[in-house]
Amino acid sequence: MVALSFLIWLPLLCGALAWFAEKKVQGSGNWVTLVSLTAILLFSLYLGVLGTSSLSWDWFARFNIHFALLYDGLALLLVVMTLALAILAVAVSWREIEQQRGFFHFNLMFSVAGIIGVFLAADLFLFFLFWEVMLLPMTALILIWGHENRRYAAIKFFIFTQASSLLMLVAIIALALQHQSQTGQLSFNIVQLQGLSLSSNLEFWLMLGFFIAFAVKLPMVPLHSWLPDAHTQAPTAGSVLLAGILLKTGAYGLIRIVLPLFPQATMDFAPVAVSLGVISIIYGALMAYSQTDFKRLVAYSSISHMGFVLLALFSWHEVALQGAILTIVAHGISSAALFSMAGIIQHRIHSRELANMGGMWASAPKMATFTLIFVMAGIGMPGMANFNGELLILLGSYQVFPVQTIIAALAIIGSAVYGLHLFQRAFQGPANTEVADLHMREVVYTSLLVVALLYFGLQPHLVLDLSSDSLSELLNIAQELRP
Amino acid sequence: MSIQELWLLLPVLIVSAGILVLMLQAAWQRNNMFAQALTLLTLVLALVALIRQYPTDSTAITLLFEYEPIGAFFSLMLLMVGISVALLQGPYMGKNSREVAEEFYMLLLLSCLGALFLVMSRHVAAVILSIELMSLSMLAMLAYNRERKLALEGAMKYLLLSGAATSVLLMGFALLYATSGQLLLVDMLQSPMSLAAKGGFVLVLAGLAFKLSLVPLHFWTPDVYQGAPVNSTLLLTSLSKAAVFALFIKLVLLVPPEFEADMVRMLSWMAIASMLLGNWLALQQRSLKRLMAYSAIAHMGYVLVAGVIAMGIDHSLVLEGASYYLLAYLVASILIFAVLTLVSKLDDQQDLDDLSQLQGLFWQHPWLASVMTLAFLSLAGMPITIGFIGKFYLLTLAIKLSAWWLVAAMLIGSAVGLYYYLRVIFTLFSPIQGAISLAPRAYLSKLWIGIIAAGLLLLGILPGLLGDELRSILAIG
Repeated sequence: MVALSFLIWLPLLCGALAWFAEKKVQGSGNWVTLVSLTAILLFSLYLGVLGTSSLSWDWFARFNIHFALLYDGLALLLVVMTLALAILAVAVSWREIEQQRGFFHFNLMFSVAGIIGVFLAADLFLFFLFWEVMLLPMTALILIWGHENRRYAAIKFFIFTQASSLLMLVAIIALALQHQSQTGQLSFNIVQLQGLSLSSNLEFWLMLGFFIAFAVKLPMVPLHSWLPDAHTQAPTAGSVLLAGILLKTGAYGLIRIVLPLFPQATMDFAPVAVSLGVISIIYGALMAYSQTDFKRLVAYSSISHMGFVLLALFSWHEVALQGAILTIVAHGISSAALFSMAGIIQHRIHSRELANMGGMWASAPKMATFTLIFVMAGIGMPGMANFNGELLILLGSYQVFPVQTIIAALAIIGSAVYGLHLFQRAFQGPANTEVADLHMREVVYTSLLVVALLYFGLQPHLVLDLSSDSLSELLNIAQELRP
Repeated sequence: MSIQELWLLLPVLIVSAGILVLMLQAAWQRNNMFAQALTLLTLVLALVALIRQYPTDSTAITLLFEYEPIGAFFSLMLLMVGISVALLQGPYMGKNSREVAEEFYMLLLLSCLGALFLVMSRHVAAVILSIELMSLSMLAMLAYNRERKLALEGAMKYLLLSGAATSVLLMGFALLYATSGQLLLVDMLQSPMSLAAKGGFVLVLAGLAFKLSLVPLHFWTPDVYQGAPVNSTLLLTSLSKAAVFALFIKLVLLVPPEFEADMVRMLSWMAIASMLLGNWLALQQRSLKRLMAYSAIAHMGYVLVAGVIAMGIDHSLVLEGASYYLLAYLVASILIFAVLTLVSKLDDQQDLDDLSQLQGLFWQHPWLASVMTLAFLSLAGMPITIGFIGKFYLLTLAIKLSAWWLVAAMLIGSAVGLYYYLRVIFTLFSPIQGAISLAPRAYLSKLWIGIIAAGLLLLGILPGLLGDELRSILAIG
């Protein structure tokens, strides 16, 4: 279906339009971006209603590479989330960006196009292309509109992700060549490549190539060190996109590529990956507790939460996988919410240091209430989206990796500690500073976030229904290997 | 020589005629604009002639030359480089330059002629003649502004070292001739190789590796690049590299099987060392020209990978990969040096090439800076640029042959390369430091840059356009 490719072109086109519009009329870029993102969101929902659709064009015949897209439930879920969070990103940076606004909107839309491409790609070459391309505008966002140490953060972010993805490129090519030696034709199609029979040694190395690339994005300790810098230095919109969606591309890659293509190697590697996941959970929680920078704290908490996803994916159990999907959605919303809160505060007091905050409840009760809700969601309070995800992950993983799961469960206490610590230092105690409370625009989008968190907390089945097809495929593969 | 053969030589004849006319013009009435127009006309006509009678198989023209598809493809690239340099020289010199203009164009045509002959040669005499024609005329261009001390120093270094390299090349051919008694390249390498012949072959490759600035014969590169006027540097980094590489790959494909293992070992080490050292030394450079010199060393290392693999298997993919990669490298180099040329002046003591001088280029001249950014991204091998497709070809080749050492060196090199390319790009986007003046007007040059930049993107986004056809263009397989 040709219309599917519009999901990629339209953001690019609208980004260019916003750039142009901003040049002509000051302040119009915001509106163009907002309206076009909303329209694309509706369009993606419409395509989703039509059911699973796909598209395949000849692209580079010499290597049998196709421009192939697949839009199924899981992709729909993530694309919708991407667009929704992009709208949030526009909303939070409505007045924050002071220079080069047009170019800012272009970069924002460019990265959205790249991320949507990653979620839609059904051909590994195409997947890799989008995987790399989405980095460029994101790096530009950090570099040009970031905070004091942006240059360092941008270089680090780019090199970490880029260098690791080179390993993925090698693995992709090796896989395609393997297909050639077995069937006589090169292939980069994910479904076709699933039929390969690989020797266990080769399978392991290929799996590792992909795994490292995805683990850097996720991020997993010890490959995480780009994340705190990038999140902290990025402008609020950049942080929202980074935490909300970019990290999820790592998890998505694991679900779409690593698990189905290398099931045996994944299972053999699972104890290591799960342990690393648990280490990420604990390390992230500990580091979050010791931060004094609002954004840095939230960044480390992301490492901790994504550790749960890693734990769930590699334990390869139905309940855990469902939990992983729920966590992907829930963490996307809650971390984006916390980052936009950090942005709101920074816009007012020009600091992210918790020491400069304190007692803000007195002057900004609405802000405090919303922050409290978001912190509670992050901690995993029942009724909010994150709770379901983490609970399912722990329930499912326990049946496969009991020891690791018990340790991971303990870390939930840690998340309560750093979450409450954050809230207490920023909003309670003696008043350090006076801030203006949330105004209308901010109340609107923060309350939408609260609604989303509560909705997915109480109605998680919507997410589970959408992703059920992909998950049942994975479980079928697992069943063959592990009766 | 039949009429048919003369007809096949048409592109070269056109260039030669252009040189003669230009010489007469300089003697009769000097005029910069006219000289430039004449040069461009000559090169475009040669290009048209080449495309019109693009060869589908190999035809020998006299004893010295042959006309074959791979050489013709390289000739296309060479003419593209020639046109770029000719177009850029106008704005670079400005209206009232202290230097005369006609001689530059004449030298440019001469070195293009040498390069065109080099990719066609099949005989030792042709190789030596054309390589010297190309290098010597380039030498004069390297010192084209006589007021610049660094340019003179660089040209002197190039003269001495390049002379030494040519003698090494000659010595190698002499040894090969002594053992085989043949002067045709094909016959020379076909007879069983004695130790002396092997030594001779290594010397020949060393002579060529000097021109390609492969480690360990790379030492001249940074100084010469930095000293020369930036437009001449462009010629040096693209024309001579492409032409010499065409010969290099031709020779490597002729290596007899019993000598292959040794050659693979030697060339692998050269490739690995070039990739690693070139990228490593580029890291700390402040001068963009020096950075490009080291990056050229690294990129020649990458294409050498194709040369190494050429001796393994699957010649068709190797030639495609090497051609595509070289094209990508040329396109990116042309764009980077073109931007530098447009913001520099030949009459100044120095070109604008310190990184700090380029700060904030994007906010002043967004189009130029975007072009430069694209070119650097292409060199770094980012997707949607032609550079990525080139890298993809080479990686596929290396992985296919399970040459894991080469793959590892390519990966490490690329990862290191990212850092310094990114540093340049970041500089372009950092806040404005001082005003950067752009050559006024020069619409034609800018249009040409735009076309090449569009090609860089187009072939990156739709690699099939060229990639699917390359096999038939090169007439292989």
